[in-house]
Amino acid sequence: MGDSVPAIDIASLDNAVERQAKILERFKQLDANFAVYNARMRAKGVDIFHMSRPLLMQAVQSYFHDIRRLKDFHGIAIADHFKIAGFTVKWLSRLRPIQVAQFDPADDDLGERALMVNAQFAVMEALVVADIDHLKLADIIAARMDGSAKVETADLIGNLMYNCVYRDIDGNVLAQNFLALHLLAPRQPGRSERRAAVRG
Amino acid sequence: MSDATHTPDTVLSAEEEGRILLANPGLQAVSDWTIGNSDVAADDTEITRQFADSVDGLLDVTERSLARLRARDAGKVTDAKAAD
Repeated sequence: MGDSVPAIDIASLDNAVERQAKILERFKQLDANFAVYNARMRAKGVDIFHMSRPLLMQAVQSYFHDIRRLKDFHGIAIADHFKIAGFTVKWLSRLRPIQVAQFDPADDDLGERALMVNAQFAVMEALVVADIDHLKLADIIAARMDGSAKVETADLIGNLMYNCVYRDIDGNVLAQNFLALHLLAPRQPGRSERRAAVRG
Repeated sequence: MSDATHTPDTVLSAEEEGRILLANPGLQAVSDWTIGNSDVAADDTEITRQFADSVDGLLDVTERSLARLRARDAGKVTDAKAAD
């Protein structure tokens, strides 16, 4: 029987270990960030959210499947931060791992929060991952509007959140949006380039 | 109907629960694909730190976004009523 046991493919094993480690790191990162978010919500008296870890794991795995298909098809070597942000938003919005406890059905504030919570968290995550300075963005928009600020950053971000809930969203399109916002208002100029150099 | 729930008795860390979930065959199989050695290392520890550092500002802008969406929806309701 010993003769029929195939030789262990070390490269494959290493990749499996690496793969699971990456998935686990992303899972833990999102879980930790949600804990920070939810602590702030609780401090505001909004105590109805919890993270479904099975759904979060599914979202993270779906993200990596999506990225892998994208890379295979287009021959992309490295997913940049805008793709990470775009596809993370896509899967958090689609699988909605943040779940909602029972609340007063007459409370319209909680009703809307329950509807939007996954989009809100996903967009917050994306702004960090894509390195977008929303304060700088606000200054740019205000300057472009020449003082007649009919549009502000909150409208832009709100529109993004609204689309995550009510529209078909595409990871690549989101990635393009995040790239554009980053080019307009980078939080730490040059950081992405430094990271790419490290990764490459 | 049973009153039983599927809530675990013990609270696991994300690390512990993540490892269990990775091995759960009920979830999406990950054994038949590879990420590839050149996949991005997204500095998850760094992202966690930055998120914690900037959460108040991020909440401020997204909370204002929610308020403006709410106001917009309220406007739509008013317009619809006016149209009636």
